[in-house]
Amino acid sequence: MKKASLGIVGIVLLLAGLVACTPPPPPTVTLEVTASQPDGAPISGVAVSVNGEAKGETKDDGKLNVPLAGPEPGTDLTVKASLERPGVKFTPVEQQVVVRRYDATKPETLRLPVALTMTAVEAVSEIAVESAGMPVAGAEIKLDGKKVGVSDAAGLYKVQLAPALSRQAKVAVSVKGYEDYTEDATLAGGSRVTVSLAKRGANAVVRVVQEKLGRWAAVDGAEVTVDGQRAGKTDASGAVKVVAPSKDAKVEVRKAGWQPEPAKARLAAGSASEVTVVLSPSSAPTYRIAVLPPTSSIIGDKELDDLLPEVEERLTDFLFAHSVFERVDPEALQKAMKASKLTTKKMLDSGWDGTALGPVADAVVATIVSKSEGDLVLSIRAVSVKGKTIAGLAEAGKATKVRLICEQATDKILEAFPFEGHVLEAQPGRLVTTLGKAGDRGVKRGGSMAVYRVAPGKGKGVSLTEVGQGKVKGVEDTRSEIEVAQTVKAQVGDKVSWVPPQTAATMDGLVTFTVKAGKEGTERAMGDVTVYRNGVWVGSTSPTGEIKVPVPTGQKVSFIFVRGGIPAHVEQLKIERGTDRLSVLMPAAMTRLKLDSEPSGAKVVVDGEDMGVTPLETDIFMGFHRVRVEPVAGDWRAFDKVLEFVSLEENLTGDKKIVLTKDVMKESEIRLARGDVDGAISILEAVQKDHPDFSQAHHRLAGIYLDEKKDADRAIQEFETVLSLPENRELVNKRFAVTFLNLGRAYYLQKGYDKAIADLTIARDNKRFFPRENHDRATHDTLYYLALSSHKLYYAQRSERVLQETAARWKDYFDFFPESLKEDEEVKTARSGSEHFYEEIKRKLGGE
Amino acid sequence: MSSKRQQTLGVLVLAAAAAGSTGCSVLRPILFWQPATIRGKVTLADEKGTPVATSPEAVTVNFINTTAKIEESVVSVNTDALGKYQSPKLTPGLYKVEAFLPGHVIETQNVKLRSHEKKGTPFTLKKIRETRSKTLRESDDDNIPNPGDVQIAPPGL
Repeated sequence: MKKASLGIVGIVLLLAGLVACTPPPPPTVTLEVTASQPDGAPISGVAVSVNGEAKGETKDDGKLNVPLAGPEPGTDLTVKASLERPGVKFTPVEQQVVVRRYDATKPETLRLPVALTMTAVEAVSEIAVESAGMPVAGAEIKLDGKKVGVSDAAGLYKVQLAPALSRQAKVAVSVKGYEDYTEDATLAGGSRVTVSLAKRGANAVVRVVQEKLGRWAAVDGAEVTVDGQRAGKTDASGAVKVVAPSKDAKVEVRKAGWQPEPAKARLAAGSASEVTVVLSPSSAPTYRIAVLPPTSSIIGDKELDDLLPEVEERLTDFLFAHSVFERVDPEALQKAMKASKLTTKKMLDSGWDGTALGPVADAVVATIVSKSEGDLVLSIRAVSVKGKTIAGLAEAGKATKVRLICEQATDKILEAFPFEGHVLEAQPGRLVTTLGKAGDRGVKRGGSMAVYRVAPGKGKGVSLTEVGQGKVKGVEDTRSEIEVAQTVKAQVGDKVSWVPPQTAATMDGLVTFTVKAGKEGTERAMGDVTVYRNGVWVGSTSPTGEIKVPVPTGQKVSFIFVRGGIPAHVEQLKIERGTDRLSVLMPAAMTRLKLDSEPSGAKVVVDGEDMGVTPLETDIFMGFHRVRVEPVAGDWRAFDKVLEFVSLEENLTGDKKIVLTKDVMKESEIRLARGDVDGAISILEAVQKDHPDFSQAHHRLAGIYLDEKKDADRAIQEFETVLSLPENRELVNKRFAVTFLNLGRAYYLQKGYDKAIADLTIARDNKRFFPRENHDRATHDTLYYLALSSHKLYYAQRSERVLQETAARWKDYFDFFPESLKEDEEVKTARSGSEHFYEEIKRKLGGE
Repeated sequence: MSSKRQQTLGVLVLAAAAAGSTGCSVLRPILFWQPATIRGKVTLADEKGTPVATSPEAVTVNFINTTAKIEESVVSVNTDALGKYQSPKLTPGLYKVEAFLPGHVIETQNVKLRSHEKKGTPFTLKKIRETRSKTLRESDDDNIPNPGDVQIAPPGL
């Protein structure tokens, strides 16, 4: 009894003691381990253990901190370090450390540095020799000019670097039948340097591509045979270099998991020949879609603005619930658009192929939110990377039912999207395709599919030739069977595309709409109005407000008219006769525009329409307008800008009136016409950076220096001045695309061939922005000087790479010979001279 | 007597005839021994064909024997500092002679080379013509062909 109570008292006392005297946490002593090589270089990845317990690995600086909670001073610690991974091995080291006395108030006593010196016993770097995806054995390998060995059967050669971990070396590889190769490489233990050899005389190229929504994508790892001989596998750019055949050769391309039969093509005889082979995947593609943030068509309409986030969220949810569509991350989209200076308009008008967004998105979905008599109207366009509308639709409904409207709109996109697949089996009258209904593709029994032959088109384009159409007989998830006419000559690998039922329906009537907007009595024709029939996109009105729309007769059809800046308009119609003409009046928000200029009395033209002379007051639609103010007399420069009108009244008078400047371009032109070259130069030279015609004036000035003064140095200086403005250099201001040609030509005349090639390449890649009236001439000159510069560079350098490039550039030059230039004397001279240059290059390629 | 004279004359005529045809291969090497070669001078000219003063160095001259086996058909020499060239000893035959200098129009001439013949073949190499086009003006703002200007094609592909 007594014992027990004593025991209890003891326990109570003990507990009390625990509560009252919990000692402060012991100070942490840090073991600071540093692993380094004898020369002091840090070693990362060293596994450290303390008294047999693993503590982690050293970081890039070779350091690892191991915290020890309150160790007893005098304790012996055994620190072991080792590093062993494939290709790299160090001798393990072991060190004894004694914990010294420490004091928590003196931080320096809490640090316990341990320096470990380790020597590499093994540091093996591999050199892998391959050609077109296949290992090359027996290749002689030299490091810094000294022969060290040959590659083994797997194309590998191992270099022992120990005691060093890495070294810089000039790697030279040579083997019979291949071009010699040298590279300044860093050989590091555990890493591999891959040497890709080109077959000697391999100057013909086979490219393997696949097509999706009218765009090519490279196919890598495809096996290519030429006349039955393995030629290699395609690289990441889809290309493989092969020895040019002496006569036309048969090319076959295969890839596991792709089309069941090889894709075939002919490679023309002769060096520098090229062939592009289209290979089809064995499953239907999915599509990476970027959803642009919806925009409101009515500026300043708060109700619509508030609905935008919901519309975006709902649409995204519905769209990506279908696994055929993959979402492009909105942040990646914004980043890519910013990097390539893409605007929504630019993307929808001309696509984004070749920009930063190109590899990221196959299609974008743009939505305009509008309203019509209380109803909410969504108009949605899906546009392919090439700027082609692949599906367009409109959906209207009560503003309270955003969810339903978005769901129905998504269904319509699935119905109208031209899903693609390929022919797997082709028999007369019957085809099996990869296009099934998986992923909610809208493919249905009884629907139509079009069959296309895909081939390389002009330039880098895709040529699609319709082979025929067929009816879908059976649909599975990843297969469909279609019935075609016996005469349809389809083959394995051909493309099939779903034909949306709306497109296929019979339209036996035609209605012509004239769309106007404004208040009755002062209405004006409206161009650029997008028209939807039964919710499906049919086109946009012309500048005179007209559009012809095919319709089915005898049934009720709904039309939706949408234009940015004004509310949408919905019209229900029943067309009885074959053709009909109808007028549509859209309500529009107007701005009262007050405009004056200095000097006044200038003519005002808005969107190409004459409005009178300044000062003036007029009504105009809200939104963007191109405003031009042209002085009637004198050498004044016209004001020409796109302005946005958002408020009920825009006042451009008084302080805000438009101040016109003298027209230096016109003045210099007059002097030049009189033969006063120096006079023209002095006017243009005086134009300063803040002048609206700065770029144009200095561009003109450069041209005068080059053509009249034969002073290439000054010309280059002036051209560079024009291109030093970021908006010109980045081609935001596209009118100066041709400046790259002029600058390249100036460099050529000055024998700066490298620079000439760089600028002319930019010009060539942007030739679509050359001025319309001498577009062909500018393209010709670009290709001509590019080939000439390359040719002259070859004279100077005699390198195989420049030779190949020059051959390709002359080929490009000869390929371009439009009708408009056939009678041009200068072009004729250029071409006849070029034939002699090309002859030289062909000789060099022929292996002189 | 007279008949003997006639005989001698007949023999002489025969000998002369023999010397004129087959005999030359025996007689010529002895009398005018010289290997068969082609030689000449290469002159440079500007784009219009007017000769220029600079003498060409290292113009490649190829002698292609169109009547020989392919592997032994081509012989090349370079011109000297004065633009002169001379082929090595060549077997008789039909030759295509090419003069080649980067940046110039390649010239070829056909030469029929007989045994022990020395042919002179001069060349004039014209500079390849280049055009001198003019600086092109920039576009007016709205003068750029833009795919967006074109009416958009209907949906589908």
